[in-house]
Amino acid sequence: MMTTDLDQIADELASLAELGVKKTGTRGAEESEVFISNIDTLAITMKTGVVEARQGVSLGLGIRVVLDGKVGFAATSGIDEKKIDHTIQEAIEVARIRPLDRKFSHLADPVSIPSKDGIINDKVLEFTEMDALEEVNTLSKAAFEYDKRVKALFGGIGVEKAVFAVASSRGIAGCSMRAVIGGGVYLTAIENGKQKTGSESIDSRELVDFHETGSRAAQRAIKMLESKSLGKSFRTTVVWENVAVGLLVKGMFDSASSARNVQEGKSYFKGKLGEKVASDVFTIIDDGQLPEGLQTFKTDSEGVPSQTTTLIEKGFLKEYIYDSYSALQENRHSTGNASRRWPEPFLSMPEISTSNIVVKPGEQDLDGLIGEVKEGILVTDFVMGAGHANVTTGEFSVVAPNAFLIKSGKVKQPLEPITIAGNFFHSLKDITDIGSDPRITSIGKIPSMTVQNLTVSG
Amino acid sequence: MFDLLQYAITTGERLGARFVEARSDDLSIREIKTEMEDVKDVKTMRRIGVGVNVYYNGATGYSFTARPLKRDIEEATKKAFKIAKASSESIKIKIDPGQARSKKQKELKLTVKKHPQDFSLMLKKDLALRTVKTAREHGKNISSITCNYGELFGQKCFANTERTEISWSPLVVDLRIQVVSKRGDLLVDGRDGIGGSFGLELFETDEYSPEKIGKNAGKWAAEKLEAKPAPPGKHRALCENRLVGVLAHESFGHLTESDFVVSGMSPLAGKLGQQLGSGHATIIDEGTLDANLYYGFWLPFDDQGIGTDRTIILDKGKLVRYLHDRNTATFMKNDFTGNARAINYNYPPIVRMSNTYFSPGDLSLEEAIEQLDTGIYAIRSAGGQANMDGTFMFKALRGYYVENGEKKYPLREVTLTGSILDFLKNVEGATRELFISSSYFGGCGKDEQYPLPVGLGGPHLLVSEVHFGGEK
Repeated sequence: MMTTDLDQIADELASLAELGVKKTGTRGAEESEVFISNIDTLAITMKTGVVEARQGVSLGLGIRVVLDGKVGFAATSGIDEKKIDHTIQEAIEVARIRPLDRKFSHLADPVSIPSKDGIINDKVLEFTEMDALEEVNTLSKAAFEYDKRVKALFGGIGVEKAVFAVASSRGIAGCSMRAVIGGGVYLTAIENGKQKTGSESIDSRELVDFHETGSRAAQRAIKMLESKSLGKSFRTTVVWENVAVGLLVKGMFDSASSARNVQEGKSYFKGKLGEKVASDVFTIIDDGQLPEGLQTFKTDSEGVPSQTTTLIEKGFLKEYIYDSYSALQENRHSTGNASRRWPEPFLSMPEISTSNIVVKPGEQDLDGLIGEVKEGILVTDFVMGAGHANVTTGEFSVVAPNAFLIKSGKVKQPLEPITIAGNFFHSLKDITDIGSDPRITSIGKIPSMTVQNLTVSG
Repeated sequence: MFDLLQYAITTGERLGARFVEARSDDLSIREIKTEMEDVKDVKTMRRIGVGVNVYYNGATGYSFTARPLKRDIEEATKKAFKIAKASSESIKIKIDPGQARSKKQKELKLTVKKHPQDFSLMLKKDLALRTVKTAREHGKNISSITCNYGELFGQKCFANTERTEISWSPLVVDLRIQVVSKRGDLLVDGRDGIGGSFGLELFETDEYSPEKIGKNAGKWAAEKLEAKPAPPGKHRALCENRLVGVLAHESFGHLTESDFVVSGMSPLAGKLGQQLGSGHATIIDEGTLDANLYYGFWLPFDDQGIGTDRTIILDKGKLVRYLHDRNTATFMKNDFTGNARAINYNYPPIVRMSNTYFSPGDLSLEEAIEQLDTGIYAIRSAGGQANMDGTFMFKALRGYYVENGEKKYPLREVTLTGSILDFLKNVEGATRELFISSSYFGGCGKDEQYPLPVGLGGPHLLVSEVHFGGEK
């Protein structure tokens, strides 16, 4: 596949979306919006020695109509004229049973701000199943060769080429696309009946070296074989490696920075604009235009240009993120944060979500951060339970299978799984240090960070 | 549809495939979401497509299309064959689906009185609004009420090289509500709901009427305003039905899925026949439950066309079976258990659970609380996660601190952590009632395939030495 192929798909989707909008106009709807996505996925997975391969295209459309001021939505997989007709009918029926939402005035208006898609690399587009198989083998070999105590492994390489188009009766007409490659491995190391896990993944818009991904995951698991129980419960400083803290940050900011949640009284940040909500070292940006960011698209899923929004600057709460609905409540423009749920975006209505979350890096690398800590905990790798935190209140309790004791600025003892609990929003003020090691993931670009005053038990 | 599936099979075989499986989905999904008394979102979705799984020389290739036309199915089959062939060069463990008897079973349906497809969205909207109304009546300091109704139904067809042809109609209905109460900076929630393969008539019963569900959620949220956090540390615990279901599924069931066993990933690999838990711990995976007694997910066939089974995994603490798809069963020279499931046509089937539950014991709930003596009564699940090494963290939705066999005060944010293997050893008893339910919202996640409807449940389990996390 080449860039011109993506462009061709984009043209087809755009004209079908336009056709959908025209058809809806003839059915009595006041307004309509047609979203069509075409996502080509190649995924090769390796479960120890078993290989599974999958390739195909997910394709479908979602239609929003406005009838007597009420919004209806319906979606279907596949696209042809018959399906468009049927889905319009369904959306109209849904609109009929909706009560009038007095806060809704109209669908998104076109916004003219220059914006573009992220980096699209031809080498990613041309990456074949044979290339993927080779990389899966590299990944797996690197892990097993790192240490003979690595016994089992789940690994995979995936390439996704996505195009979506949005058109509406208010004049929205746009297409966005991306091509990304990713690989990851989750493995176990066993010694004397003790089993430990390690994982590592990498996602990128360029070709990357998967050898290192395999050996890093192995290194993570092997380190844990020496683990001992913490044997106490105390309040302490936690150094979070970049990958460990990402999901928690995303979940919390998706919720608290959402203008809709603010308007509905569900955000911790409600009424706090301009206030100091975090420590001086903390600056966080929602960057929908980061060229290397995985969530970068020309427009959001309502066809509004993607933008860059500063959420918190040096500890001060600056702005919320908006879709068109929440923006209209405040007579302002959307920030281009209407997103639909991957990997079948056509199935869902847009909802507010961060794009690439970028935390401004600090001066020191991870070792530097650790060096500043007299006594504390280092958390590497993913934590369990980040997705179950209470995003309204900020309360969280996660389990870290890969954690270490820090003493006098040095990493000492690997620990049996520990629980870390606290309130994320209160903790923003307890961030003392940010690392110089931001890492691109599907969440954005986040460095390691040091947070004081969390409850750790194990 | 079977013509198209047969076309995929002959196309694959002509290319040189050892075995071909072809599936089609035609599934409709409806969701209604209300916030306070407003209908916030209504969605109707339909997913139609075909998937083809091709076996070639010990490897598999899977492809799919959202256009169920001859031309697109042929293309998908060719693609599946191409990637299977390419993969066959890289494999170290060859897989094979083995042999099964050819089976013809068409249009299999669960009999329900009020199938959701025969009722309007308006009626379902009213169910949600009735739930909200009683929640408001019974709540206190309410800051938000979210109610969700969801349904999934349609038809799945399956055919393979063995000339097996199966079609059946899945069904899930779910109604649930969350009430958030607020006092000062403190936000707490109360939730209730029921989901599973049943008709809308369930909502006409006293136990699962919208009024009862709403009342529970409102009442429980109000109660949590007075609740304290669970004291962190080790406690004796009494775990309620839905919570033990999550433990059975998430932290133990997954470890018995034989793709994890074959690959050596599961800590239970090589442990068949070993005593892992106490005599009170029995765990079963079952495809079709008595629909008059339980609210699980009705799964008569898996996505390799194998009839589902009642598989005892853990028998009085002893590990006796793993869960299989055709490929792992063949590899391990075991019987099929009918546990190959795919979330939709975009994915190939992998080893998954159906309805997983702890077996009941002989205690009454009163006796269990008395035997708990002093500890934590942890109720319902607010989600959680388990790791492949057996460690887990789960949140109970609510709970009580129990002292000398008496409920002392309500708890909020109850987090259980530990290792499932320790947990199973520490099971001291089980109550005699069995409750199983499924859900439309949420479900099981494995690889990227989420949310797959599964059933979960069990009795109340009395367990010692459970670690509770939380803020100090």
